[in-house]
Amino acid sequence: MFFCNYFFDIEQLILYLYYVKVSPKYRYYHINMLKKIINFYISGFKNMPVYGRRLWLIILIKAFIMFAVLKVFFFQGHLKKFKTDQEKIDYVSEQLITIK
Amino acid sequence: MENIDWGLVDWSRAQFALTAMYHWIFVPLTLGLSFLIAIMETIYVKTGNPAWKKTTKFWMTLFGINFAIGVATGIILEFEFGTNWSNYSWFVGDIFGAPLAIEGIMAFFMESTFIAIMFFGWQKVSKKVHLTSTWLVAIGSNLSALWILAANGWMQNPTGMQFNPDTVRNEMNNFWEVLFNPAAINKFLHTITSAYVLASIFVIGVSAWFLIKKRNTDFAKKSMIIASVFGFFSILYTIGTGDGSAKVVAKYQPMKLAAIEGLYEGSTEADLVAFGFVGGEKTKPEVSGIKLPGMLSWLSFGDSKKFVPGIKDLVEGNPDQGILSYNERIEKGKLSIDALAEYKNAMKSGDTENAEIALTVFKDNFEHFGYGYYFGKDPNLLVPNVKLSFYSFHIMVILGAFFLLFFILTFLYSFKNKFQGKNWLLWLSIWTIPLVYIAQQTGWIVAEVGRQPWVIQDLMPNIAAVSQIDKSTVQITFFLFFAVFTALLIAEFKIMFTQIKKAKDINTNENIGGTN
Repeated sequence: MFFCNYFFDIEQLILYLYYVKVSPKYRYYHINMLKKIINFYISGFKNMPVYGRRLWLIILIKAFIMFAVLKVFFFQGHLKKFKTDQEKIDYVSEQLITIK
Repeated sequence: MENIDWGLVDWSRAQFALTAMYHWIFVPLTLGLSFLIAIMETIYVKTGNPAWKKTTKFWMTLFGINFAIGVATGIILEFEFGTNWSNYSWFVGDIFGAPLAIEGIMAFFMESTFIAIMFFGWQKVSKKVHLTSTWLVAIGSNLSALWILAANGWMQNPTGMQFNPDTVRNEMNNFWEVLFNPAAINKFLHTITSAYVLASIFVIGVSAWFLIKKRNTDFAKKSMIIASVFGFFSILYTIGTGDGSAKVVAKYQPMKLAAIEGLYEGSTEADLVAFGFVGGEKTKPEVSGIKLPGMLSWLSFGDSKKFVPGIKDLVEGNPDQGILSYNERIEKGKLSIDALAEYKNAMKSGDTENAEIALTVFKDNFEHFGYGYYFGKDPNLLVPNVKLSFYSFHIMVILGAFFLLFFILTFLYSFKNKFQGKNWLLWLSIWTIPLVYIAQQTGWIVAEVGRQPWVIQDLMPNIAAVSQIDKSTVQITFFLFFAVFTALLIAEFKIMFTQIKKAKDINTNENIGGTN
């Protein structure tokens, strides 16, 4: 139920943002279209079988481990410590011209 | 040599290999099963027979499980490029960036959008729209593979680029040359058709289980017919593209060819090892077994009189055949690296005249650039692991030949409707599933171990590509990945087996697989 409410709120939010941004000429046609797409996903998720929910749980755990743990703590990118491209060029050049 | 942390290089390689091998457990089933599902659904739409709809939905369930567990496992490889292989990542520049960006956009828009329609849209969209979505998922996943394999093909045979010494990056100057690189095209076709073989064997094996259990027999027979036909044509194509790949390897990566055949001394009318064992020293292999006279020359160059270089010819050189020794190439590579250093220094001090001279020397020797990193070292370090390459290659080829016979058998028995009761064949079908996964993994070992130590053929060895990071970090993440991927694999098996066991009365029950 929590998920249903959550999706419902997102739908309202998107519709609100859309209403504010788009010109009135196309507004109602587009809103209907958008509503249909959102409802398509909501009903799809609502009617998902048990194994489907388990799979989504696995995807979320996996994404959390990958992006919130591995990426943040272990894989920040070795060259990210340099601020400019020139610093990166200088560092890699030094690495490439040094024969160990 | 004492300055190279070989432990760091080996752990970084091991981590990449572990990630890639686990990733490749999930990918081929997605690539192949997506087409099988699309074919089954096409039959449903054409005939209107609801049995085909249920058949499609059942396999779609297994496809969904595999897709969900495997999705994004490849992103970890990109994390590793940036952290463990940062010199490489910078060096390859946009040549890797462009295909990967296209792959990302395609995977996201095509697969993500149309997979939702595939699973949620059975009663929401028309039959034709649903079928179109299913085909687009299949085409989209396979096109994603194209971009990744084009990038991999470039590493095996770098082309369509120019090295910029100011930015120390390779810049793409011909996109089409990168995409239609012979190494990339053969690799793509060989890889995707082998994925179709895997998916076909998977479908046949699971269907065989239903026949042994005497459950859902009509569904199982229908699935077997489709998979047998699809698998039969796919294995023919896999063998054909394998031959094409061998020709490309012979031309651009002769050391890989020598390693996979355990060929120490090259010759004209070189023999092909059909079945054998490799012994001898690490870089001086001795092969005993059944050999087919002249076949290696013929398969490599289409002419049995052609010379196939062995490990000795490549390491020590063979002037008669115009082959430079590794020591000569190391000298030229060293010249190129030194010229790059001189160019950078000259540019810094504003000495354009010397910069021009250094640049000319650099360009003249650039094709040997990577060899320079082995200056003062044993040239035998440039020989890959011969035993691993040899056995992986021969296991792959023997299994490939077995799959051809297997599909002929399943094709005949399915069409004559004589599968049921042939328990030996049914059990063989089930046990062929792990064999096809072994063939997939050994295929990648051949491709990647066989080209060692090159990360980019002739231009960048792994010792120059690796980042100078703390080895213990790589070790920690190696075991972390091992744990996460193993857990994912166990989850895949568990959920998949549960769904297969739960599948009852597929021919009559509406609610099997996915949502309605």
